Amino acid sequence: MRITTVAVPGFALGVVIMAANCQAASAVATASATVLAPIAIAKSADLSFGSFAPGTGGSVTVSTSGVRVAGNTVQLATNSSPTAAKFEVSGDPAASYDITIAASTTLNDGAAHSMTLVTCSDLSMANTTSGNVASGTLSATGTQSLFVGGTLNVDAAQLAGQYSGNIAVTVEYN
Amino acid sequence: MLPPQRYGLRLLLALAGLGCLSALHAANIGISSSQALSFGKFVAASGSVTVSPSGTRIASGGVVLLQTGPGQAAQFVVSGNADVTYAVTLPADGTVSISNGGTSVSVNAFASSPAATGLLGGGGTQLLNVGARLDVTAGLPAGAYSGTFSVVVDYN
Repeated sequence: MRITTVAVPGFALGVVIMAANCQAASAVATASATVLAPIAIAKSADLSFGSFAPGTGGSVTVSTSGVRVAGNTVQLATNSSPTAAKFEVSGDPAASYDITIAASTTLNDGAAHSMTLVTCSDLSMANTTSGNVASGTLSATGTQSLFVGGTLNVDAAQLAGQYSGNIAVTVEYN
Repeated sequence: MLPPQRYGLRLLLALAGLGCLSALHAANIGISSSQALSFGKFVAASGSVTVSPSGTRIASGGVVLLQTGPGQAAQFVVSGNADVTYAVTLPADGTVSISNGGTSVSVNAFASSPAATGLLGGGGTQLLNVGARLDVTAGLPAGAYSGTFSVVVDYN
């Protein structure tokens, strides 16, 4: 009887140790995410070809730095100031993004007369006259400027008037 | 001398204790977090961001991912007896969310590598990688979201 009474508490101790040993383990980890506002673009300057006379037809090109050159016999008026378009892109610092610019568009005088505009663009105002930039990277402060110029095709019989149109520029993070 | 029924009882106790004694020689299973789970940077829309256990991030719906915030899978170190298998229990759907302090976003479809059962190697440790899916809603306010989740391991 004495041996038996010793054995029972011994078993009870064993059960306690076993329970402690068979315990599962768990760990906690952090989960996080950063939600950003959509990338933004705003126009700060319009593209302007200034005034010109068609001559026997040709073209007028305004580079991304605003330098204007006539093609063929188009005569440029010196009393007008051409400008390249400028856009301000803003978003998350150092983020890269895709740029989509309409390769061409049409300018109208509001009376069914038109000219075709072929766009060109860059991010550095580098006097670019052809081709469009397809991607950019925002600065450490989350901004970048986009410059758009173009070449306007002028017909010999182009009617006098004020022609205008729109260039669509889309940006998206990539 | 003990009566026969007493021997039977002691034999039973000894057998029950054997499993215990073998466990006593062994290390407890342990787990510690060594890398947080991150869904990275993105622009919200109706959709989701999924980070796989290997760390690959994909978006669905209109969610736009940013390369500058790639995200990462969580990583844990499981330790215990060498060459022993263990069970992994991940959070159930609907139990974890992350918050910016005001708005919460659900984290579901937890997945791990190894999946349900891991195997501790010769050194008695194994890396456990965990990914999940963040269910994003359109118009989710911009900001930093965070929360916590638990992973449980147990010897099989």
